Amino acid sequence: MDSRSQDEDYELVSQAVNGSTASFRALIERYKDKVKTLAASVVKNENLAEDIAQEVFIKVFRNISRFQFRSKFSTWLYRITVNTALTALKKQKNTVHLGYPPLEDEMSSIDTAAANATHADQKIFIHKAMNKLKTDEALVLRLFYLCEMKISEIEAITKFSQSKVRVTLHRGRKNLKTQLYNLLGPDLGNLL
Amino acid sequence: MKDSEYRNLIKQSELATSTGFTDRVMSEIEAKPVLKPSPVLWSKKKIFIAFASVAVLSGVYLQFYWFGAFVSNYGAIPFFWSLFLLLGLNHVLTMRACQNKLNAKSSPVK
Repeated sequence: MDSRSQDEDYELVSQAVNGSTASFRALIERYKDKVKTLAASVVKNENLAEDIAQEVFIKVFRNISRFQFRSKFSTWLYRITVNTALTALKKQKNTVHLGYPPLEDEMSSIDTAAANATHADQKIFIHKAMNKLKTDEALVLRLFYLCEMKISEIEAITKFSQSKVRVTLHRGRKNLKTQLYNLLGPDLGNLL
Repeated sequence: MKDSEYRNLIKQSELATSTGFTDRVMSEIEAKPVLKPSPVLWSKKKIFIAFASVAVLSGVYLQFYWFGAFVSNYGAIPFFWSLFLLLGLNHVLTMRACQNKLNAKSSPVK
């Protein structure tokens, strides 16, 4: 994220602190998909991830006056997202969930080769491969490539050490490639 | 695979929120005003603090009593009575404030 975007975030946050709901709405619009995707990396379930994203924005609204402007707003937001998702995951492990089918089940019907696949199908293959990764690998990969966070920022969000972030990133890339190869075989080249 | 290819792949893995997500969040925020927890009137912590305060005050009183610091023209007793009276008054006012808040919340007219 460039500094201009960061300045815009600070401006929106300042206005939201002063009670502007329109600015808070703009912040939601800017980050909602990334928050949902990060939550899905942890809980591996799209419906639950959306509920978590909703909870995250409500938490952020309630606590926005506590934001100190020392770090990026996105780092603070993603930290809250990861914490909320981990809490939800713990709750989910402790209770039997009937309402949320695992993401893998939702996508198991897709079984066509990448060469014949439409763009939407390709996205499903990528989701499926990402979903097969370990939670920490999927999370670190998405923070690095999707949210464009630096290693030090990922360290602040996940509380992993910098060396662990680097190792997880390396392992995640390798496993993602393996998962995609398992799903698509030699057609993997068509996806790239 | 190159770094840019991973970036491209993972960007494609972004999930979109459902239609009306922002509206739902905003209506949820507006529907649930921030509820501050009501003060606990008699918690173990408060009772402990009260006992500790009385013990410290008694110690101070006993220490300085002999120097006449707390002895007014009416003797030493009014000091403690005033203290208890103020504490009691504070408790009654806190209770009343809580009651007013609860009445305001439950009232259908805003």
